[in-house]
Amino acid sequence: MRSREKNNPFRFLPMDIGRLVCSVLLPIYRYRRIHVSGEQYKKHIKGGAIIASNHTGFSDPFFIGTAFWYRRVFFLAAKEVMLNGLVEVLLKGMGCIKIDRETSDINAIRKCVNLLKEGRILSVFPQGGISVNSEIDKLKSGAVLMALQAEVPIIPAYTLKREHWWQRQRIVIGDEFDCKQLCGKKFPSVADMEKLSEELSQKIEECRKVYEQTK
Amino acid sequence: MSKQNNEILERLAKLFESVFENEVDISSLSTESRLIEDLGMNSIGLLYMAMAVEEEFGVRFTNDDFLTLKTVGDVINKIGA
Repeated sequence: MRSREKNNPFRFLPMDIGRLVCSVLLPIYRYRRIHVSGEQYKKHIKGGAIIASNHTGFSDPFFIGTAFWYRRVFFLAAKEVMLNGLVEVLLKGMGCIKIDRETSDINAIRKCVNLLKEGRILSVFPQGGISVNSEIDKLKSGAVLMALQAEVPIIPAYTLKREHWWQRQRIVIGDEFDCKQLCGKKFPSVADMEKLSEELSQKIEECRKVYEQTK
Repeated sequence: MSKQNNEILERLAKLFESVFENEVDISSLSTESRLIEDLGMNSIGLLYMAMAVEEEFGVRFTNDDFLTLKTVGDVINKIGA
């Protein structure tokens, strides 16, 4: 069943239609309204990767997707966001993977790991929710767990908490972070994953400092 | 406990040792050990344990399994099923 789905050429059609529609207006919008910086941004991402950033609002997935316009970006979305069947169909069509944050949602994690192993990009917000300011709260270990399972790097990113909707969005992309290489074990422990999550938090903080220095 | 289950418990103990390092007291691991209360697993720990067990034993967990997975004995039953 899974391989049939994998071989389906129209598997990402709704997502690509969305990207095509956006691509008409996106170059103008991107040039005027979004500023993306960072050394990693200049090198286009090849293969599977997790983009881990702080979460400042519902528009973050749009900005992250725009920053990585050259690739399909999948998102991990809380089940609470999928308010009804129609919203769920739309969001899933746009590449969102529903996750239940209250339980150990192994089906969602497995889906994400499989996508990453196929060489896709997944955007996650490891804070687990929207923060009221631009501070980097304690991160959950899910992003590190998926990166270790799929053996892909994590790319830290910082998005500015905008005070007004018309304010230009700033995104800083950090250097990639290879969990498997840093850990060097077949089965890293839960404590190792927590340490890696702390390091990831520092990497996002470094991106924030880059923003502070260049604003 | 059957010989087969005993072997699974021994392999699980080794797996838990690497996954949870010093956080879990492996010497007292039994089929009655509760995953959350006795072994101190959180939601990520449970997920990680399930993924490690999947890799080691070639089983497949579903979300519904987590509703009934309370003790090490439940994990052994899942592996043996």
